[in-house]
Amino acid sequence: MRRKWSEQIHFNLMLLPGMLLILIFTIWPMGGIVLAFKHFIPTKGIWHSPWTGWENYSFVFDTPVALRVFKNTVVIAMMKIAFGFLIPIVFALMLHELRFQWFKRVVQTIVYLPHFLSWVLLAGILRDLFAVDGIINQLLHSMFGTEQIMFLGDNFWFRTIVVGSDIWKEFGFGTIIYLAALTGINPSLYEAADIDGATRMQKLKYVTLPGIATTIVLVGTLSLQNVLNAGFDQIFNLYNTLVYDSSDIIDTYVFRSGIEEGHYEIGTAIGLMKSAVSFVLIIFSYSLASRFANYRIF
Amino acid sequence: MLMVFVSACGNNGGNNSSDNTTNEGKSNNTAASGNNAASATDNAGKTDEAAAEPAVAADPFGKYPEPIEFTTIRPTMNNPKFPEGESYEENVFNKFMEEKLNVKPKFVWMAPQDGDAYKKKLDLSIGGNDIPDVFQIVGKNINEVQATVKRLVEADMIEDLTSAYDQYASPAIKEAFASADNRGLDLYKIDGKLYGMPGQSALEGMNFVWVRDDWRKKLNLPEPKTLEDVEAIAKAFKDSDPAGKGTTVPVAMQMQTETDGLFGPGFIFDQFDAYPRLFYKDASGSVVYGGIQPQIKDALKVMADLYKNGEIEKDFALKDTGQLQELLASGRAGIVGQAWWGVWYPLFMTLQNVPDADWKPYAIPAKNGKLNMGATNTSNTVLVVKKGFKYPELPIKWLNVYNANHDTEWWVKTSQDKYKDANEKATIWSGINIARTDDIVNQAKEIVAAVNGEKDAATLPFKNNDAFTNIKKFIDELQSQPQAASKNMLQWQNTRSWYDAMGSAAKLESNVVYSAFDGTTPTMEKKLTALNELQMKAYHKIIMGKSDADKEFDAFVSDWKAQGGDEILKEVNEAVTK
Repeated sequence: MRRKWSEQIHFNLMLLPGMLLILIFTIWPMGGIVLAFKHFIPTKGIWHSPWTGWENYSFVFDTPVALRVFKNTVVIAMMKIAFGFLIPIVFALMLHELRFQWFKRVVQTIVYLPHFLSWVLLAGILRDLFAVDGIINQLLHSMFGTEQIMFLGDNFWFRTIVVGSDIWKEFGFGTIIYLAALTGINPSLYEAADIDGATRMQKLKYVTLPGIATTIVLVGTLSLQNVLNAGFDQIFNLYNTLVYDSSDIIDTYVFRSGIEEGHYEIGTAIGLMKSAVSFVLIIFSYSLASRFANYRIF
Repeated sequence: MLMVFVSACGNNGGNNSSDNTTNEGKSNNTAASGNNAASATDNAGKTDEAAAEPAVAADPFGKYPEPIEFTTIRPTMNNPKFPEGESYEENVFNKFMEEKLNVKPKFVWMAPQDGDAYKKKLDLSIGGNDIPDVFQIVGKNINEVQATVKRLVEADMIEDLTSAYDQYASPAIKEAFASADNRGLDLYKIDGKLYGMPGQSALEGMNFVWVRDDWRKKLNLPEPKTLEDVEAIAKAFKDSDPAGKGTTVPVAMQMQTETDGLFGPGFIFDQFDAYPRLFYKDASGSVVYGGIQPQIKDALKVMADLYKNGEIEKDFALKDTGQLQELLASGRAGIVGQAWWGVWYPLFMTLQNVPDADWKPYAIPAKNGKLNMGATNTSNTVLVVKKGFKYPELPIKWLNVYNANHDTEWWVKTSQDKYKDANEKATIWSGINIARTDDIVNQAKEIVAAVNGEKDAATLPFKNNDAFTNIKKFIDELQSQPQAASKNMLQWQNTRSWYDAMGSAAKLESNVVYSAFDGTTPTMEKKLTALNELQMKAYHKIIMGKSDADKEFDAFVSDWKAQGGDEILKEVNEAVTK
């Protein structure tokens, strides 16, 4: 039954601040997207700068490094998505099996804290840890007698460190949503399973996993939008010329060749492209999710 | 100096002009210098005190018989503050010029120098054919300024100054331009005619090898005179580990993204006449890119040797300027390449942590016996005169007076006292510095001579008095004391920069390789970032011994050319020959 407008006016008023924020900070600035097809001249402003068509895209894609940059972006992002998707699920399930509530809570708190550290800070720490004369090298040397390894100057190690440290930083935060979903499972289901004589593994398979399936699908769907986001702030703070081959991504390249030279329109153009790709991917993955996992938002 | 006020209350109706420009005492960065130390450096011309009496027809300093008012424009500071009752129009400096030449600038408009406002407004004026009698052209780089001049000449809007220059430029100014083979003037010559008065600053970008002299003395090593000596010292530092616990870094070097940055390997490249980031003219007259010349390989091989022996940090390629600064401050570094002002930043930091330390600069001549250096163009601004203006020599005279006086005691003291609280010392002065390219070296020469008693210290220009007093004290009294450097920081800094660095450079002949092109071509805009990275990657690989030097370098050169380098060279050569 539909209520009258006057009866729900206070609900609408509650919506208003959020709507306003979105209008002012999201919808309104979208006008600036036109910059992606212009040559930006600061003194003329966005509207009076001349149109250039697809020029800004060719600026990025007509370079010899374009392929490398694109490949690195997708590879690093996919690695992050895959591990960043699986590890929190496994970890949440393991935490769920713990018997001591206090221990569970302590672990949970410790693992999600790194999420709140900035990459600027962490990159400094990582650089010291993995330095040629850093702790990691000293440990390896004393334990295995290895030669000094230049971790951050080596293509293989660098990518490993990037993905590894990103997972370490974010997986704790990723488990929270699953833990929340797990607490939402009706305990009587477990009791019934116990009475039926289910083992632990069977309970996991027939009660727990189906209980959080929708959440898993949702998170998986949303994470696909990051296929072109390999983590600018992390890589920018860690990388150097020696590892451009393996870790120069679209964002860092655009930053160096565009933004640093004052070509803001390049940044806009690439941002628009990334948003478009993300949008297509989300539509795609959502349609898959609704078809195979029966998951719908609308 | 007594100021006489000429009350020029007559506007003779003739159109009058003068020129006016800001004195932004910015030295052009030469190829190997980063930011200027906030000290010691100053562009200066000669100090001719006496302005001659107007006697001859073409007297460079001659006062006009009738007061002349002329229109001009000027770039301004963003937030100028004037002492009570002064402004850009009415101030001590303009009165001084009026007294000297009987001329008065009238500002048609002013616009901030920052953010291109001045340049934009000037472009509009030019487009609307509404230019003042005399004005200054500025630009991001020399090529922009040249393009504007060319545009004005093609539109027949500015005056040919060739004969005015010949007749009226003061000997000091002519000498200053001659010190760089009139290169500064040639930049603004079109069909052999001179269309503007450019500025010129002294060269100060030569690379010195700074050595921890306390370590060198402790190990009884001779002062380095050749690159081999420097290598020997590096080796000795490696072997004897003066910093202890294996923490010594014999050669501190930064080459993350730049070859010619602060603490970079510039001093090694100079030895081989190699300029990795410079576009310059070779013997045949065409423009080449320094980074792909074969002599680069020799310089890289030297670095590869140092790297192999563990004398350069294993992860030098990962270190940025900030990390190098930490390393230098910590007192672990033994040798570092830096400009002559290295003691003002950051080498003094070593002394704060290690009281016994002492850095000393050495000028190491290359195989040709000269001090090689790469330099960008020495002029980045120019003064031009509107076509048909009656007194085309006026701006030249103005610059004569300006450059002859801007180091006088009165001038310097006025800047320091009267304008002490003004947000920019240069608020009121307007003129362009025209300095000999070897100006700083010459100043150093004079100071050294005075300190050594070969010259009367009273003859030194006013601005060098402080340096002289400090150096004299350090050389005569302090330097033999323990911890002399860290206890007398100021005296030590003056001594090391003026007396040791520039003083030793003055003893050597320099070989300056000028950049032929400082602008940006269309292909550069697109591809230079990637090409520079390609270059850096190849250099790193060669230094770190990851691949065969010759093969790697040849591969890099052909890649560089294929990926846009050839196009860029073609564009640059076209731009230069135009």
